[in-house]
Amino acid sequence: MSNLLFLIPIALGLGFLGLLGFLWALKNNQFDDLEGSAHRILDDDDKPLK
Amino acid sequence: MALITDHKINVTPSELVPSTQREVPDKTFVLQKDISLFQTVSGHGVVGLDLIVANMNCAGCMSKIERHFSNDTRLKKVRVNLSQKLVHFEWLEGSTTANELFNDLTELGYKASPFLNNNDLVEVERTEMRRLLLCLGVAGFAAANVMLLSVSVWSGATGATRDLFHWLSALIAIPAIAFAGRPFFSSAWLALKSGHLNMDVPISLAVILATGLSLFETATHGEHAFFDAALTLLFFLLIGRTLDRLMRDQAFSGVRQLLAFKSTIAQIVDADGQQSTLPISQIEVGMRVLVLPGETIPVDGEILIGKSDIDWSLVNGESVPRNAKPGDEVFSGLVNLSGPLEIKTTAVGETTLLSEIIRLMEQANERAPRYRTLADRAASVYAPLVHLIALFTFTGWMLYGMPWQGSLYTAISVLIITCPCALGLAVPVVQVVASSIAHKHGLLMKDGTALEKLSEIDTVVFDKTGTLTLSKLTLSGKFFEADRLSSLASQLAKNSLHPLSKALASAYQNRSSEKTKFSTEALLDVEEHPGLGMRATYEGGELRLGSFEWCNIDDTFETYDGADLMLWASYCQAGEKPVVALFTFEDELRPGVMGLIRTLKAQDMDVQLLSGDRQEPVQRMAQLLNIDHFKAEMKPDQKCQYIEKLGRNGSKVLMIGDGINDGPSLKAAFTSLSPSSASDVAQVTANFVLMNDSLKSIIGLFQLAKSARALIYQNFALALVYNMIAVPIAVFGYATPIVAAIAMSLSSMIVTLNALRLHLLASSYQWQEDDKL
Repeated sequence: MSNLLFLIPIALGLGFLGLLGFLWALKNNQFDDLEGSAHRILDDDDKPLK
Repeated sequence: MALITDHKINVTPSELVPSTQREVPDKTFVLQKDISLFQTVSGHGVVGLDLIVANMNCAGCMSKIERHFSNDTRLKKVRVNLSQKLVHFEWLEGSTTANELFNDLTELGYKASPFLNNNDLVEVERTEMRRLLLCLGVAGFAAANVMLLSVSVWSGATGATRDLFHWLSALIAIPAIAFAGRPFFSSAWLALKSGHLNMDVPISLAVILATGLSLFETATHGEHAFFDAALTLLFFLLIGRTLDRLMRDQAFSGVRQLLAFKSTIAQIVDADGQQSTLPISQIEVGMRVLVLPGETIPVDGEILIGKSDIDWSLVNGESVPRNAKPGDEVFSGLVNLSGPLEIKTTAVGETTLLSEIIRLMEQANERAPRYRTLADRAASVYAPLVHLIALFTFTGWMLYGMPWQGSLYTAISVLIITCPCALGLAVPVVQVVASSIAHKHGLLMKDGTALEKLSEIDTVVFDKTGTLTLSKLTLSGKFFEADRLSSLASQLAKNSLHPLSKALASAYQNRSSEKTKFSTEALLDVEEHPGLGMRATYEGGELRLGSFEWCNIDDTFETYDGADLMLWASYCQAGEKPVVALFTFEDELRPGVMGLIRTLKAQDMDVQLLSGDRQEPVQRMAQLLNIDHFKAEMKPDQKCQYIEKLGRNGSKVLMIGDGINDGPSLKAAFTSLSPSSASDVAQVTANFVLMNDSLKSIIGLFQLAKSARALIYQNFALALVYNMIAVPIAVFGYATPIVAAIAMSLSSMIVTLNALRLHLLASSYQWQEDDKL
């Protein structure tokens, strides 16, 4: 029983973090260009390490 | 249609007849349209500009543009939005200008046009989508966590632990439901207020009752709570709702892109002869607007200065350009072809031809019976039935002697297990899949209803010019001594924007043997006389291209009347008999027309042709395409009335048209389609917009509509089978929460998977890529 006192807040807290992440993404226009993002990830324009 | 380019046009002063005291403008107009009107300036001196780039289709284009501008020190930020085909620039005031960036982008090879992004409409759209996504996120979070707690309860938690879990669930669920349920609650409330039952009523009832009873159970140390079921229900339904919204937004932004290419700015000439650029919305009656050859006339007005030929095809479907001279009335949407015109604006806003058409469209809309979608029809049967069964269960158990909590508990199980999750997803999932398939094949779908309607069509009505044809002329014949003169005439024709000249020039462009015979330099003093024709000097003789009268052809050449579109050419050296040639032209058929009509006829559809053009060309076109029913010289209101009559006689009409005059009939028809070359009125009105030239993809669209409908019915059937199994279980009280949750999720998943089958089915349809018919 006493484990629950830790585990439940942790579980809920992690879920809540996920929700906050989603809200942050929504607020920062991350869902405005779904098509572009899908392609952007393949765009390999990093400079190679020397 | 590139609106913003440099124009250098030579005008012979004698051709411009001044109707005012002011002198005619210079010989050469050099115009650069100013797009800085579209930039937005924020408080900190940061300037923003959005450009729509039509030919940016892939990741390659996206990275090319971003890479080109990302190292540009003038700019603060550049960002490409591929789904909306927008490029957003930000820079500090003074470091560069909108026009500079615009030209850079054009030089890079992209067709851009300015786009005013702080539009209220876009903002409304975006916030609505965001609100739905927000609800979806909250419901998803809450559902997952409450489900976690519920699983613990189901696996055997008792006493104080169970109570704690129930209270925790309540703590998460109640605010989440209050927040995420709003789209349903408000819609249900609106329906109830107007005395209707829609799908949202049982949803809201189930959710509110389940939450209420669960709270009661929790407070009284009860065994079961329903928070998880209520939240999962909301979660799945919100997915359906979001997909629905996503599809409409996608189609809407497509149409917005198309409209961005229509003329949004105009050149104004003030009393001193100064030119400036204004957005069309700021033009007032009495202002003088300058329209260059090749441009669309932006206002209704009267020609003050200049002579030209005007293309009326978008307005009334006439295929032959008409002459225009000072004093003539012109309308917005007409295309100016051969000479610069100065037009005095006589009407803006409510009084234009356009608003007349819009009035007709509104009337047509009012008269059209409201279409009840499949989902509506299903809901009208389903919603009352579900309520009845639930009520029946409640009273049945009460009569049987069960306490009220138990009876209500069973009744709520019924409401939840019959939850129209599968039903709520059945239609939107199929429509979203169908819309993405259609989009891939160059067809924009405005809303899902249109696809349902398309599957019921039995009559197809075509407009002629611009719809069956491309409004692109091709050389169909040469007569008299054409061989000797034709390549010379084609060289002359290169200097004109008139559609006949362009057709003649392009017909000879690829014949290298004739290209070597004459060089363009040999033609001297090339002049275009708008409304008449062209003349030039060649090796001392006079070369003329234009009408019969313009070429001074004597009556020994009898008028050839096999074609509407013809161009005469004559070459005459001093003292000699002139050499004469006649070229005839035909409007090029849209690719795929023949195949489309053949397929439609094979499916026993009634194919008809309605046109505003003259009887003769319409008849010829009808014969060529084997269309039995055709009507020519139809005015916008006549077309509209004709379509309405067809509708009253029980026909389900698909209207395919492109002109401004087709607007009302597109609205009056059961469903409608217009090509992307169409006027903006037609595009905004039509339910589908065809993005490529070929009409062939319409066959694929028909097939898509049919299978989409079949899949929707299958999904309804699946939901029905599910209910037939689940409802008895719930009614007799055997539905434990875990059973309800599993059954509900399973039915939703099956429906979604079934909808995805459309991708497999659609690969075998006839889209335009296949073969040329």
